[in-house]
Amino acid sequence: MNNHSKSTIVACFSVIVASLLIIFFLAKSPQSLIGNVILEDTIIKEEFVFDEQQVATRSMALNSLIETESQLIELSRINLSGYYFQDKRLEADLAFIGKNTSQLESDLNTIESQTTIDYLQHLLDTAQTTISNDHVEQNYTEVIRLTQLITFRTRQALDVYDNLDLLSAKEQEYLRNNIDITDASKLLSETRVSFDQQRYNEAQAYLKETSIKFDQALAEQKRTKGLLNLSKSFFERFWKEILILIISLVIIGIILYKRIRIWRIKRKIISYAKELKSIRRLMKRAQRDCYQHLKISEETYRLRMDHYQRRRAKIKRTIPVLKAIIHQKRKNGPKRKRSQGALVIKR
Amino acid sequence: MIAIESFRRFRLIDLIVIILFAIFWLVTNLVTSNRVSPQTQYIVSLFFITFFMSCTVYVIRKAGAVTLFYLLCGLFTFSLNNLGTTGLTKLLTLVISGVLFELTFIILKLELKSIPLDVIVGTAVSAASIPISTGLLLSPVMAQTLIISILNLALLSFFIGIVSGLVAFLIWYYLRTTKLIVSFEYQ
Repeated sequence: MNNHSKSTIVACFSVIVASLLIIFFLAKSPQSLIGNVILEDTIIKEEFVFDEQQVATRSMALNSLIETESQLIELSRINLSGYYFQDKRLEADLAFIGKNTSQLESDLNTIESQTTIDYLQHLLDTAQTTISNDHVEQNYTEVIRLTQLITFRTRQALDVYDNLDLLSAKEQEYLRNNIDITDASKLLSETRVSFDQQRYNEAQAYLKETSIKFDQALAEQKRTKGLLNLSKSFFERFWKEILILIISLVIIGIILYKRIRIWRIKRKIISYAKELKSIRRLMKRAQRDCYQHLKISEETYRLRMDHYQRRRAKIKRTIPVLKAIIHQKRKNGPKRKRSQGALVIKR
Repeated sequence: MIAIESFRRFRLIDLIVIILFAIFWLVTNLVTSNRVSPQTQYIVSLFFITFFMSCTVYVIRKAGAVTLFYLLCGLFTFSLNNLGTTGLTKLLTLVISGVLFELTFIILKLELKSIPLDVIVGTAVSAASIPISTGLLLSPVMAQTLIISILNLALLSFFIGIVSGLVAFLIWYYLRTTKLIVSFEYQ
């Protein structure tokens, strides 16, 4: 590798490295570079985080169970209390009860609040109706975790429920306005399925995606309408200029076409002249090959000569036609003043 | 000075090479689509389209080759959202970009230490034009509103164009004297 090549490669690599650094800087800028242009994909996330208490007491666990009970009553009013919540609640109840019901009975004797007594009675009933194999060790932390999970899912379910209603209304409105929402409608039905089957994380993700699709559909319709209005007003506003432009383009086009035609014809004449020279040379060579060097037979010679002559005749016929076309064009064009000599013959 | 020598008729082999490069770009897009984030996909797509475009210029060196290449790329990836837009808008964007390159390439004749600056600058300019023309074609009002984002994208695209142009040149620098390339050029 010589010095020139080395310096070329070094220069190239230096520019590449500098450009890559700039690209890295631009792409990693805190303000998203294309976030406003391209919509980001919705990612399904597990968002529940357990807020673990340092000390989990019996009273804390009981209170959280009673709170959960009221939330579930709220859910059942709108027919959302499904198997998922019932299962989680049963798990929480069993973790609170433990393997022995004696504590529950003593609690019943000491506590005065009617709500708490009712709930403890419900727990006692649960303990009696549940088979012994399902009983687990008493764990208040687990009770609090499960109640927090129920609260989180309740909020999630209510959020999806509210938004589903809103999006359904939006769907109807968009359909009335003839907006193309095929993709959004499909996603909305997927959301409904996920929600009905109590997959709330999935339903929430679908909901976000559906909302984006609705916005996209609306933006697309607005854009199309805007473009249509813009093009209409554009032609209305600039019709004179557009007309002048079209006429100018047509005139320029015609002139250009004529010029290019003459230029092509001239080139053709030059190439024909060259071909004529080549044919003459080839004819001479064929004569020498046949009669001087005896390389080819007379039959071959005649065939070649015939071919050459036919081609030469065709070219000779065509050249005057092409010259006439150019001449005609010039005649029609601006006439040049003829140069005159010193002597002028007077007639 | 205008490069008159670039105005030559295309051979069949030239067209085949252009189609092949466009197919290569399609394949890279199919491989990367839905595997990376939209921003990364834009960068990757732009890098490869400008890279193959530079390769087309080095191999064919005829006016109109790049516009044809971009047109084919647009047709092959008509429904792929790899450059921020799809359909006719994408096709028009790419054609505009191709024409910009042709103009730069034909008018600008610069070479520094054997590096064809006309090709590299042309590549960068055509790459930078992609987000601008996309924005203007999609919605001029929106383009005005998002002017900072579009300018940032144009700047990013410009440097991607420089990198891909230089990478293509370096590869070409080593391949240009190979038997295959020489026989292709003087066939």
